[in-house]
Amino acid sequence: MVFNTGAALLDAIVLAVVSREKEGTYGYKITQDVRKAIDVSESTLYPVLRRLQKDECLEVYDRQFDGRNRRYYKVTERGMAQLNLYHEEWKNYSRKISEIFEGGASV
Amino acid sequence: MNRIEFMTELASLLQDIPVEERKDAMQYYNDYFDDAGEEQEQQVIEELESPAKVAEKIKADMAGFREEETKPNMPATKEQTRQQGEQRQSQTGQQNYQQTPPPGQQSQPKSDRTLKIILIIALILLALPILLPLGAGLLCLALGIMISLFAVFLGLVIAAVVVVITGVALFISGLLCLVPDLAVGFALMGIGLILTVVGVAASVAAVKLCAVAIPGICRGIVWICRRPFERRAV
Repeated sequence: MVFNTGAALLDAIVLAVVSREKEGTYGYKITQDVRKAIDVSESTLYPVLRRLQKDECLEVYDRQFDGRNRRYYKVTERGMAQLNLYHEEWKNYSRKISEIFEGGASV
Repeated sequence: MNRIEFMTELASLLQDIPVEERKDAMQYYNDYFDDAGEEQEQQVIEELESPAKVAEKIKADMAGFREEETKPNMPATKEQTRQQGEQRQSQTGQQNYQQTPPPGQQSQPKSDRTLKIILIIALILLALPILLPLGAGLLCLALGIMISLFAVFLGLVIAAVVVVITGVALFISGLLCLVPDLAVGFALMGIGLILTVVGVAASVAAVKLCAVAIPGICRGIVWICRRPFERRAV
């Protein structure tokens, strides 16, 4: 990809990916889902998840899977608020960029 | 490199971050390998590049988090501060995490305190083989000095008492000598009386000296004995 993904956008994408799963989702799946949209290295995602967890935007819990404990991530209320804020910001941002590309008149 | 080597190296590279952080990261990557499956193992390792790279990213982000505190409602400033934090981190390179404890984190001071307690216990354990014989030696020395001082004063008392006894004995033997030899008898009685008086005076003086000196010595001994214990208790 030619465009850089800033930290805020990465946070937003991760929150969005996690919020799609009601029951929460786990590290490997989050990485795969995020990588469908943007090109990030696998080692980038863990710090983002950890930070969002510390910001209380994500909560974690362990659940038995295949005879072992798997760590699941779930979006908190605060995380949802943050995601909505990101979503609004993104809509504004992308609309403006699109307008420049497609119309160019009204910015 | 296989998965176990990768995880082992990662764990050793994360030694300088708080225990909680390390455990969390290890669990994440352990899960990650489990979920990727055995056939993907090599691919995952290639994707992650190296344990050093993974550890670096974890530490860089912790440094960034430290700078920004918690302001999740302001995405713009959050990003700015995080980037600043990352820049600062990359400038200083492999900065030791322990040197600057983050203000908003609770796990850090806790683990720091535990570390301190462990260090102190280790120090005491290490010093014990030295401190213990040293303390015992000092105690014996003090005891020895005390006993010898007591002996000196007791000796003085005994000597004075012996002078009194000698005086009395001489007086009695003088009395016995009066009948055969008057002059010798008087001389012996005189010397006996003088010795008795001198002896009584010396006895009184010695006993008084003991009364003053012995409690003083005892106090001194107690003070000397207490010192090594005080030092060890600190």
